[in-house]
Amino acid sequence: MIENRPLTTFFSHLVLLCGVLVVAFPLWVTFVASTHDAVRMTQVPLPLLPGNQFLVNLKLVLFSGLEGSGSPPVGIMLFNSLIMAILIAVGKISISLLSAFAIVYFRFPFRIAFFWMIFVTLMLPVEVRILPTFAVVANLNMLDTYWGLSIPLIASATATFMFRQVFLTIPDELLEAARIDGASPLRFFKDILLPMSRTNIAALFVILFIYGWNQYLWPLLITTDRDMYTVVMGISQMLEAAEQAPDWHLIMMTALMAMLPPAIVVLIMQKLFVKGLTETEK
Amino acid sequence: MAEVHINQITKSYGNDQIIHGIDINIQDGEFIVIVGPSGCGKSTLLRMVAGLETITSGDISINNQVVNTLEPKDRDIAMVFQNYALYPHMSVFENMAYGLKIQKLAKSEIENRVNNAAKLLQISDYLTRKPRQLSGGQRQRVAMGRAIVRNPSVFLFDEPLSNLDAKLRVQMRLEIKKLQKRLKVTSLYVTHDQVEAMTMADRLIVMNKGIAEQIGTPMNLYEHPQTTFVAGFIGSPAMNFLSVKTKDNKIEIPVSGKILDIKTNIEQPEAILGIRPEDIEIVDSNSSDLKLKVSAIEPLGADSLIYGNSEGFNDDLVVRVRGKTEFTEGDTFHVYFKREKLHFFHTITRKRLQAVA
Repeated sequence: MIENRPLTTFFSHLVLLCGVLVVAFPLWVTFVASTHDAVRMTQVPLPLLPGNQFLVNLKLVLFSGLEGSGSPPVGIMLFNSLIMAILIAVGKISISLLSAFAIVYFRFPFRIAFFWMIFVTLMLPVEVRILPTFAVVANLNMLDTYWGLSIPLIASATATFMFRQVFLTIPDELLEAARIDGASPLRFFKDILLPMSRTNIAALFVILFIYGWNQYLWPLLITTDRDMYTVVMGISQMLEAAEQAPDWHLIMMTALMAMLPPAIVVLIMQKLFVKGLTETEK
Repeated sequence: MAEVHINQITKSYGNDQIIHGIDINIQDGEFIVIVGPSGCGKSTLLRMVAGLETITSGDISINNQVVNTLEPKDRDIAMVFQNYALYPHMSVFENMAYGLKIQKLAKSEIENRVNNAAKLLQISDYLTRKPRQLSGGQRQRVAMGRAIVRNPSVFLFDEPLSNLDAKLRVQMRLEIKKLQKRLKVTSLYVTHDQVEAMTMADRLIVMNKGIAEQIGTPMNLYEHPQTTFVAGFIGSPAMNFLSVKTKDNKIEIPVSGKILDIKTNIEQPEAILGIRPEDIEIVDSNSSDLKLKVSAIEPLGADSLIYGNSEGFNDDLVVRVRGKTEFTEGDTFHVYFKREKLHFFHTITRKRLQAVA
């Protein structure tokens, strides 16, 4: 749509600017807070311009952690979060790809029944089944392990459906051409389906990485060893740190650290992400 | 190089039988075209030969080996699809090499074969491109190339030209035909386009509702159609049909009351007369078989088609004349049916009747 009405242009820009401000202002406050020392953060009004303590705070947070909060250094928590998010994203994508492959391309007994069973899990997110799931993980001795953190979050109906839709748009002739070329089912999966779903896989990886990274309740429940804490739950632990006034400058620094990896993932995979969600031509 | 024998093949989906016992024996190196309207089962038949559809009953043998239960890759065939079915993420070279790679051929051998096929099809310059960067005609060539590099005993074509524009279709059909003659590979070609069928085939199979109506050379089918279906399907514009009365070894056209001056031994009181548009002459009233009124004219350049109607006709009668015609809509004219070009069919079985004694 090409229009040339100054008033409309002004108004639409105004709306967009307001939106940007609403989103960006808290981020700015977080950043500013992470650059001051503890004393400045307790004074009113709160600073709106950056201070000079950024590197000091960064070092303190990354390597020694918050005193008395019971949290490990943020570096360890970031690492834990990263492992968990990657395990969840990769695990979900692998399992969903394979189950979608089975559902779309194979005729086996109770195919529809299995399909609906996967569908039903949509109604059962971790929060709903948290107690039984905890019991299972505990019985399998997976408390305080990366597997315990990620496996219960891996089963995913949404990703299965998405890949099912992607596979359904791939013309049958490709499968037939591959069969005549002599490709076995797994070969077809590896050589044709995987490369053709590349952009969808990337898009899903972004979504699932952020989903995994932002997990709060589940890590809180199953980690007791402080070396297994993840950063998102770590932040909230810092708030309740040992009956003292919260160290806002360090908490904000931690929050900043926690925000970075998802942002980096989005930035890197931006192009593929958009392609994967919008591209329909195969 | 192989013979293909199709023996009493049938196909059913549940209780729905869609192919009713087809027999074909294909010679080594023959180009066979299967033609018919959509839904006649021609593609299904081809896919059964390819091994992409199961066979309900009957046998298919390639090279004297029954292949009913063999996987497509073990049948020594190659197939070209209507929408080309190229792997979109692979380059032209990779597309053509994929089957050979799976066969675990040596790299040099693969390169050799792909380069030769590319040269043959004049696509050597595009080997590094992706399919989406190619035009329809080029994609079609790549699909052919993928079939050729496999060095198969049998080529199967499933309406390979339907996605191309008219001009390219004419060009490609000639090329495919030449290529097949050069490679001498037994080929089965499915199309719904009767012109394609006529021009390419060594022998034609006309299919209708799951049965093979007639098998023969294109000219044989054109000159001696065994059923009204074949008569109407082969040739464009289609053959005209009139119902006629027969008595005392004579044939009468009821609309005009004219009694044709040929002897017949048709026993039924009624029959269907078939006459092709090009076998009708425009004459003066003396030798007229039928008087018609022009209802439409279609100039084709070299020829013109005159659609004539008369009371008692459901459909227009089509007459083909050379060059232009002076008639305009509403004019009346007289036509004469060339006696040696008349076809007669049974009114119920629709089979050919040997009319002239």
